[in-house]
Parts: sequence; structure tokens; C-alpha cells
Amino acid sequence: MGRNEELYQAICRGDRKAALAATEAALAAGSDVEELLTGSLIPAMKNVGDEFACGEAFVPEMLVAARAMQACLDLIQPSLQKAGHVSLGKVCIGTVQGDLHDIGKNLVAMMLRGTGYEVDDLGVNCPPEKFKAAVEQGARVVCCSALLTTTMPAMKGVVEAVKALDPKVKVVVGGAPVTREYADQIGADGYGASASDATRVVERLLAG
Amino acid sequence: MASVTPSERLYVAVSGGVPDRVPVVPKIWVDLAANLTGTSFVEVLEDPLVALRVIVEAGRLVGADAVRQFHFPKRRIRRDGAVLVEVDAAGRRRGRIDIDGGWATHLDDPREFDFEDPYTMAHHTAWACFGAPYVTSREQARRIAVPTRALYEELGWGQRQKQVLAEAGDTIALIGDLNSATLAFLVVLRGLEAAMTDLLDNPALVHAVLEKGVEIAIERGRYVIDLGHRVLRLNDSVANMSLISPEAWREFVYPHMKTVCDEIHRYNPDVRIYCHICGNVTPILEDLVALGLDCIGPLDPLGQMQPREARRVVGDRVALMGGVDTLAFIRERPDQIEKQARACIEGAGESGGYVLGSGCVVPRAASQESLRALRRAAELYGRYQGGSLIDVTNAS
Repeated sequence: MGRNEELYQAICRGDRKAALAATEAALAAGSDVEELLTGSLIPAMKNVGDEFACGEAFVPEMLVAARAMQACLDLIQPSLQKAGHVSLGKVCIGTVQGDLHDIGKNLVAMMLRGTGYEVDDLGVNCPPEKFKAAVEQGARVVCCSALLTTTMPAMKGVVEAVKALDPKVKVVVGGAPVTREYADQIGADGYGASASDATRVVERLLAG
Repeated sequence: MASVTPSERLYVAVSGGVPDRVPVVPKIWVDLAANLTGTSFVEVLEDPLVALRVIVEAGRLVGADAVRQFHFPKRRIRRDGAVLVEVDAAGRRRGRIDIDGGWATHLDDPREFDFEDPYTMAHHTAWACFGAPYVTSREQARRIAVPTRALYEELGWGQRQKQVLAEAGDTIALIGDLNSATLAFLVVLRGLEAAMTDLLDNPALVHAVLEKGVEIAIERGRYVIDLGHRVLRLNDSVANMSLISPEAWREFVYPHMKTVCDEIHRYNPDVRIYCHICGNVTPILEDLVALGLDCIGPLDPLGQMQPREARRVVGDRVALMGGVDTLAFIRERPDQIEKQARACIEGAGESGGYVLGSGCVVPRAASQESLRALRRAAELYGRYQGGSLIDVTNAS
């Protein structure tokens, strides 16, 4: 079965109303929810992420697409659960302690959800203990964001706390002042230069 | 021959001319200034005169030719454990101060931000929106207060600024601040995420808010010009192609920013305006020239900007400012920063019209030595003779 073109296009252009209408129509027509997710919603969000990565889409376009995607996910969630749908994996994400900014973190969370991961959004100003608690709740990847040079050093504490708890859990870091070199220096497993890049890094790490 | 003052040097450079040497203007914010001068953050937050003074003192310490001036409100500060909070006159908590970031108070109750209150709007960035948007309709946007010069006077802006200008004398130039009239202004009133989606969902609201941003910037601009500033900064740290498309920029930012530039130049044609738009602005360099700006900054390498490439595009139609990676100030040695600064000077300042500076705000952990590397580079590689750069290290 092919993708639902109407739904796919509505997500790509960030039209929440049209995306919801297309989802409702598909559900009413008896479409397979798993197929709606993997055949239309996820490819649409991936397309927006790819456009963002190559400079054809920008933050507003990403945000409205993710918003439309989330509305559809909320709608099909009960049916997905009934069908025994399993996510690609559980990821937690938060902005480190002292940092109250969240646009980058939110974009990554949206992209991860749009790609099929279960995302535990821990919010801003998260101490290491909060990331540890999320790992205890089943997160296999910890995504850590910092917008400021003043808060970036807190990432090291998160890496240490998480690795002390479970060395197999992967830690991905990102944010305006963060570089690959810095990620390596603090022992992070991955570095995401952008929202779509972070999603690819999580995919790679979970693929092992 | 009379020596050139920092003010003269800066003015010539932002006018596109050839000064005696490249002026040095790193973006020093109050946090770094407090660190460099050994001043407590609380003192800066509580006293607007200290906020003006520390930046001047920090600029002198690192050998800058000019620094910016930011007018802060008087805020009452209390320490709650490791957190600084702003309190009202009765000692009641208003919100947490983003002390690791831009020092705005995150108001516990967003309704405390009264956009109809001129005092609040005179210092709006001090209480920027991080939760529910402050302004939600065009009708509300029309009610946004525009602070008048009478209010600025009443608040003591003029008196404090004249005092600091007098103290600075000829030792360092002071740059007046127009703040933002465009997207960064929208972000203050709507929050970053809402502001971004507004560009697609609610263009009429965006324009209504920005029209007020323009009125506020123009009124403030006329006032700071009359205080004696000849170089003004127009900020929009959000209006870049790291965040929005060139098409969105042309639709929402260009017309409003142009109104500000036109009106400030009409009010005083001798005044020079430079923009601070960090991030990537390569696709809109021609538009920035067409705006009527005198100088484009800060050529942020983190946004993939390169001074040499920017110069190639704009030619001698406009001056350029910045270009040194702001993270270099905490990650690289002074000699490495000096090398980078030299490349910026040679890339964008071969025939004048260039101000050496950081690609964005300098991190607060930067040392005096790292910043002084800029001045050293300007002294060694940024001297002009006969309209061109000379390398004094090769001079006999």
C-alpha cells in the first residue's frame, strides 16, 4: 500500500487542519494506523527534516510541520496502542541545569517524535538527576541541549551521571556553542549539529 | 599631527572611510564586563548607572575603541539559594532571573508584563516572554505603549548617559542602542516559538507588533542622538537565515527595518547605523545594503559568515563589522585569536570601511588577554597608509 498523499502533503506544508482531516478520513475508511504512521506521517516529517538540513526549510516551517504531525499522532495514538504498536525506542531530552532556553531542544524532540521515537521531554533547567530518573524509566538515549557557553559545562555532569548509572545508555549533545570536539572531550556518544542531524545520530546509536 | 580619537576612528570606519587603523569593537555585554571589572552581577542588575559604567571600564581594559550602552531598569534582587530572583517593592517574588543567559526575568505570572505601560516597554527586554505570549491580537498590538523622551528623561537615562559620556571623554567611543524594531522585538512579546510560527500563521499580527517596534526604536533613536551618540546599533539577533527564510525576512523584516533607517537618517544625516544580525545573513546581504544601513555586523562565523566573502558581495557600498568567532575567546589562545583577527582585517578591511569585532556577544568567561588579542591584531595588521593596509611587522 502506498502513502496517503493528502496527509503527506498536509504535514509537509504544516497544515494541521488538513492533516487532521486527512487522518480522520483515513481512519473512517478503515486504513491501517501503523501504515498511516510509517507510510505517510514519518516520511513527511523526514522530508521536512531533510529540507531543513539543506536550507530549503527553516525553523517556522519545521515547527508548523511538527505541530501538524503531533496533532495527527495524538489522534491515532489510541488505535496505535490497541494495535500493539512499538516505538523505535525511548529517548529523553532536556536542556541542562541553569539553561532556561528550549527552542533547539523542542525542535529535536519534535523531529524525534516525527521519526517514530517515544520522547520523554524533561523540559529546561534539568539537573543530572532528572536525566538519570528518565533512564531509570527506560530511556535508552539521553539528548542534552545547551544554548549558552555558561551552561554548556553542565553537560559533562549529565554524561558522568548517566554513564555511572548505565554505561550502555547513549548520550547525545547539541546546542549553539557545542561542537563535535567538545562532545568527544566530555565523553558523549554523539553530537547533533542540527535537529535533523540529532535524529540521524540517535538512529545510528540505537542501531548499535 | 593631532592623534585620532576612538570616536573619530570608529565614525570614519562605519562611514566606509579609511581611518588611521582598524577600530576594535568586540560585543561586550554586562556579564562579561562585570567579570572583567570584578563587579558583582547583583550590583549591575540593581543599578543602571553601574550597568553603563562597567561596559565602558571593561572596554578600556581590553583596548576597545568603542562599546555599546544598554539602559537597564532598576531591579530589586533577592538570592533564593543558587538562584537570583527579581522582587517587587513589597519583596514579593516576580520571577527568576536568567542569570546564565541574557539576564531577563522569567516572570512567574506573565500578566505582570503590562505592554500598555511605557516604563515596561522602555525596558521590555528585561522581562522578555518565555511562556504564554504577552500580546495575542492585533487589537492588543495597537495598544503597545511607545515610551517618550519625556519618560526616558524622567527615568534618568539622559543624566546617566551624559555622565558616562563625560567620564569616557576621548578614551573610548560609546555606541547608542536602538534595540530591535523587528523579529527580536516580536520574540520579546510573543516568545521565540510563537514568533516563528506567527510568520506563517498570523502575518497581520506580526506586522502590527513590528509597527510598534518601529515607533519605539525611532523615538528612542531620536533621543539617544540628542544625547550625543553618532553611531547607533540596530539589533535583530533573530532575523537571520539560521532561523528564517530570506523570503520571510524580506516580507517581515525589511520594510520595518528600512523605516527605522530612513527616519533616523532623516532626523540626523550625520548619524551612522550598523546592524547586529548574528547567524547567517549571506542570502540577504544585498537587501541589507538596500536598507540604507551604514555598516553590517557582526559577520558571525558560527552562522557561516566570512568577512572576505561578505566584502566581495557588498564591495565598498557599505562598511562591515565583526568576523571573529565568538567561541574563540574561550577556546583559543591569544595568538590564535590574533591570527583569526588578522584574516578578518585582510579579508574585509583592505581599503577601510571595516571594524574588527566578535561574531556575536563575547562569552562571559573570556579573559582580558583573549580580548586584547583583537587590539594587538589591529595595531600590527590594521594600520593604513595611503588608503591601504600596511603590515607594521614588516616596516623597518
